[in-house]
Amino acid sequence: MLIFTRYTYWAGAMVALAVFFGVVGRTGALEPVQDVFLRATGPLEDGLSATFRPVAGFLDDVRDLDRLQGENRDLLVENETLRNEIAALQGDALRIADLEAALNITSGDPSAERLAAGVMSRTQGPLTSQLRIDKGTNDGIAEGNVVISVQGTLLGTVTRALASSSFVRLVMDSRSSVAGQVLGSTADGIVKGDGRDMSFSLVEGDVNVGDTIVTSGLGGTYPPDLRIGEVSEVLGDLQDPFPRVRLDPTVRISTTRTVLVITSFVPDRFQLDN
Amino acid sequence: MRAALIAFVLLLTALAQVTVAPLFPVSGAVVELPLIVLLLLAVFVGPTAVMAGLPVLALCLSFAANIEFEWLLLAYLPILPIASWIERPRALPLNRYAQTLSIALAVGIWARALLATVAMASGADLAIVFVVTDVILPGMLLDGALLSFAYLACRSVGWEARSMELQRAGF
Repeated sequence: MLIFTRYTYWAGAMVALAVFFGVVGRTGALEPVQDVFLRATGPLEDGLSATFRPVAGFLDDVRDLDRLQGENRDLLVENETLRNEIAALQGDALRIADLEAALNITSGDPSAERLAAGVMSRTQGPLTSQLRIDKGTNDGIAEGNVVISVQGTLLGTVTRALASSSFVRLVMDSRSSVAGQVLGSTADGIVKGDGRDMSFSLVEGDVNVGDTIVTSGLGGTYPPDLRIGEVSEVLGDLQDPFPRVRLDPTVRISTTRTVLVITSFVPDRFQLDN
Repeated sequence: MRAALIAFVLLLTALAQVTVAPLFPVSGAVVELPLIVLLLLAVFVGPTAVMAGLPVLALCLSFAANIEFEWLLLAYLPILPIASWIERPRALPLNRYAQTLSIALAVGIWARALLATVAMASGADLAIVFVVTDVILPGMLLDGALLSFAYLACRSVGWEARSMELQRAGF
């Protein structure tokens, strides 16, 4: 080949190396080495993040100034509404506790064991979206565990658990798909990512802008009723059997520093294809 | 000493690709820092640095980003063969900067297309139009802009651009 005149042997050696590592990598033999590497380079990663994150945050804020001001006004109104609802719910909770005590009912969700983990880095490619967290198998994390935000919004799934850290595939990742449904409705579909945004596809039922989408629990990969996002746009006409629905995440991944891992939730069927 | 310095730069590049590059996306695309650093190494240090450094960088990035080593290695592998072809007499009548930029664009397309294909093979539901308009094109612009800036910076501190063709051994 003309273009490989001087690099033939080197290119051949690299392809052989790629095949060798491809085989070795699939046996899991590199995982301890990767764990040591990540532990050793952790401080360097932290230093790089700490240096550039404020710059990126400032640029983001400048770009979003108008939107942030509007959002702030809306949040103030929403905050007041929610405070009133909390007051009403606290009254309800007290009444329910009294009734449970009277009827000798014990409550508690066994799937709610949560482990707080710090976000070490975020890999945001055009097609991939994943986090690395500072907890691993030594802390009880296993592949398939569901990861949520501190506020309870679904973030993703642990796809690789090393001894002291884990990789989390976010719901925005192009390889992610989550069975979802409209909160308070029977309309359901599949939430898919494309690397940076989410869409709600194969929707059966009515969906409107502003609807909240939660996990349906179908398939057993995620527990039900975890908030995923809000409908921001519905594309397609009334005759369209499967309208295209875009979702806004309700959590800002770029500024998330702490996440919760539901360690007690074991997916019914968990097949990794990473 | 020089080898250790290059290894450290490659490690830093891999970590920056994971921690810094995602902070500055343009239309969802992220700059390919490994590609730019490998090209600058090829131009200002020599092709042997890339021959030794490519697997080191691919391994570091594979560990840091949890991407399979083999795909990263294959993604950046064409840098030197393409450079060798472009530098041939009568291949492309370009100056060194334009040659370097051409290599970056060609390898950028190859690397992103390869990684997109891998993502699709592992379950990503992506349209080819989306990959072209939202991944490859903005990525090429980002790579071109950053490479131009870095190339000018290196030239302005007095570094001479070298041939990327592998020299014959001699006495």
